[in-house]
Amino acid sequence: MAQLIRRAAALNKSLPAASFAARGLATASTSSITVETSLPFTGHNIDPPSRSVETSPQELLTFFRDMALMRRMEIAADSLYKAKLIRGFCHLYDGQEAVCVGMEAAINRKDCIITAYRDHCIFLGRGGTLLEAFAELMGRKDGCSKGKGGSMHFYKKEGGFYGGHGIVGAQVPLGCGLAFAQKYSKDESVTFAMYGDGAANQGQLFEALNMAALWDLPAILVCENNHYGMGTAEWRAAKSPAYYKRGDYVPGLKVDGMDALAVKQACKFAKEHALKNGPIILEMDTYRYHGHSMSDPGSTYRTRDEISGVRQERDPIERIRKLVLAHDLATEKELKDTEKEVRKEVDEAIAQAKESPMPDPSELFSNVYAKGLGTESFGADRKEVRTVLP
Amino acid sequence: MDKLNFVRDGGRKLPPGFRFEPTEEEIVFQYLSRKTFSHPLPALVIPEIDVFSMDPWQLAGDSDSEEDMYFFSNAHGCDNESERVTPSGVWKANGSSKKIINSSKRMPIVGIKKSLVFYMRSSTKIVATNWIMHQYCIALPQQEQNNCLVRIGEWSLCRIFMKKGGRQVEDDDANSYSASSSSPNYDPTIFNENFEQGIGAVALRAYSSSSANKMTVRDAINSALDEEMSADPKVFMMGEEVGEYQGAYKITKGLLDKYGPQRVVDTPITEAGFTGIGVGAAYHGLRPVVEFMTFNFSMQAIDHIINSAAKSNYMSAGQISVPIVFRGPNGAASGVGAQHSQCYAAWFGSCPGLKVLAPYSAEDARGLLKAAIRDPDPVVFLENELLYGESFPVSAETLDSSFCVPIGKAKIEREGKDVTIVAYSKMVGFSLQAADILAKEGINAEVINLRSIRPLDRAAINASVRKTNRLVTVEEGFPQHGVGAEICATVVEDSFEYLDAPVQRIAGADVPTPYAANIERMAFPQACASSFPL
Repeated sequence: MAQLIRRAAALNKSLPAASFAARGLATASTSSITVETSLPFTGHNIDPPSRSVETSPQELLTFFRDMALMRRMEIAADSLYKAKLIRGFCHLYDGQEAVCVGMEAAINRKDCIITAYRDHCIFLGRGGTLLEAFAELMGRKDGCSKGKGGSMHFYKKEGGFYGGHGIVGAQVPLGCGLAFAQKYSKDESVTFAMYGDGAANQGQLFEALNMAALWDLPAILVCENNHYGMGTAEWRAAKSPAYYKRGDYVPGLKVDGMDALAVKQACKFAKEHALKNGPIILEMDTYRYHGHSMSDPGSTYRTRDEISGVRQERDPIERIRKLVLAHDLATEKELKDTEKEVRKEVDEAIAQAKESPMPDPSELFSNVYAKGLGTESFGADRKEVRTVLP
Repeated sequence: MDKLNFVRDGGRKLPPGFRFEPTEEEIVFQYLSRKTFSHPLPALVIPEIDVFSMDPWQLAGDSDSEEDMYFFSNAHGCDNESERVTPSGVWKANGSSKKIINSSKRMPIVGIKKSLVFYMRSSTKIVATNWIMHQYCIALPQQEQNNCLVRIGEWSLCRIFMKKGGRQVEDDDANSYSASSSSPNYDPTIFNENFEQGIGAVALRAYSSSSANKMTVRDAINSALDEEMSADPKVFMMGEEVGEYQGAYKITKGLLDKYGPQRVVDTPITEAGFTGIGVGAAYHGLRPVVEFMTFNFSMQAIDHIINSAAKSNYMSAGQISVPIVFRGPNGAASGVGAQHSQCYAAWFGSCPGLKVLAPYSAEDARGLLKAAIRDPDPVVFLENELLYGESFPVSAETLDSSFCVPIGKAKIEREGKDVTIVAYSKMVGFSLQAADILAKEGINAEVINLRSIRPLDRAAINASVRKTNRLVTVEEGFPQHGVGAEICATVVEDSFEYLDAPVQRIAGADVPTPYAANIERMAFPQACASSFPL
């Protein structure tokens, strides 16, 4: 059986990178499989979509590989942070991979995604590479933002990914603005503005939702409800934690966010709705294994039993693994090999990222403006460090 | 609704901020006609005074306002060429008269406007002053006498004001009806001319506003928006009341009709929300112009201006540029209180990634706004409400649709050699007045109009101070950490040896803006000849 040989060049290939066509499978990899989501959808002011999801062996295997890659990347970032190669803030997404992967399966690159600071995996899903991600985390010039952004400010404009935002809730009006531009330009595409249960209480969210509904913008607000806004549980922060209902006149859907196929179905449904009828809210019921960020152990406000309980019952990768095995799409060993490959890919990306140099000192002054008009700019010592912005 | 009565003890006492700016048609047909025929007036804002019993400066009473004064007075002098004598001088008509017609054409009466200049008596001569009077009276064409006009009633309505630099007195001789008369004396033929013959020409004059080379700041901004929206379909406007209301200050008048609701978007009163939406649209490649009704409300949205707009190009290493313009009135208006009077130039000017502009004249407003809309970076465009109605001369070049003023370059409004006065926005006008006052004392001041707060034209400021050796900065905003502080620091750093005296800042008072007119005046710099009593 031919396995693809991983070379350094492959590190720059973006997801979905895997090609299982080389495997000698008896079943055609694009044949259709219908799977029932484990939980039904709950609708608010809307009829929920069907629980039966159309998928294919190719898609399921891609889901597995992509999520394993994301999981591996986040765990590796954890180690890098503890080794002090990553500084500042680092918010990890492990546990929530199904939201990102299911969404990508339902949309294209003309659709836009904007999210908050837990953005590493979404960046990957939009076409970012591991090298760009790790280099950015370590503040090197090969990073997606040339080392100037950091963990919270990944961007990939040509992939339709608009960041990466540090201010809680700000990304929602920005996302509605992207939708405004899509409608203005008659793009026939939509924007997914993602936010957490903590941000769901922000006033600007409701301001933006009001305008999105008023002007029929193709905006889909996706609440990734991992039940904790930093250290505050949802029942302590929100009088009504039914976030999918908070839109009132805007319809909402509650989705099992640990089930990639349910997410895919919901996003497909939401995109059709938004293009015809304006905004809709999706609440993804999901969970993060890590704390809020690397400085949070994640156990002062929740029990370890809860964390391991979710990992055992609801882990998104395990769910897909079971599906793949149940439908005989691959053997246990093949899946384990995939995980080993992915681990190796991540390790090589990290090694390459460590080789990447830090930005040149002149980069301190670059990109302040798109058009600098030749104005002067100063460093801390105004006499010594001054430059002209191009 | 209670009748508005602002006339007490024979004087006019308007509440601060109440603006009485009637058009000529309103003066003749709403006020003077009703007064003549003893009909109720729309508002009691015009006192009855014999304007010729006092000198013009006495007419203001104890009001310190610089606004035009309106009085009902006798019709002395309207019928003939007699001079109107006052204790210290005489009002002389400058020979031009203007007919004012009712636009609905329902009323047969016609208004007649005379322009007069006050001459002060000084020993054996009379000297022209800057006091101008427009005296309005009403007349009726007599059909049985060939439609010649006969003046009626005992009242005239007088508007009295001091001619200021930059303000054009409308009745210059070129516009005068009696073009044949070149003498400064009153032309009596006005009552004998043929009514029909004059009507077309007068109608044109009565309804044309500015001449081809004068423009208000309001029209400058409106025309700039119009032209940029016409040139680039990605440009759109967004803000409260910009559409159907025609703009809170009528800046966006006519744009909704021309471009439609997709491009002139009325928003709910949700600054944080619509500013975020504007910035998001700019991320995607559109070119929004977001209006804040005043910049005081921008504080609700300041996170989006700074964190979502200003910093994005840098954080994304050039991937996400934000070609957005935030515009609106900034600084104090008149009598609007502490929450509506703050100047934000210093706050926004300190933020890297933003460009911050502050126009003064119509040319500035037009050129800088066009440059701002075409600029790929976020621009904060600080206008001034009290400048909107002011007219400025504009060159033919300014009126061209490709006219732009470069961002980051200051303008020398007045060349001088003794002291450099640096100002922006409304304070440029005050600085020019102050320079005139200084000139009488033999001090020749150079006035610099910054135009651009960020980037700051340090080169121009330093070059000027190296020439004059003295610096005064003027701003309306709060003094601590203000724009003036940055200018002073820059000059002390770069041109220390050239200074003959310490740098001086003039700024707003270090207090929230009060409402009462007298202390509100004390809260902002004023241009006057003597120092202000505390």
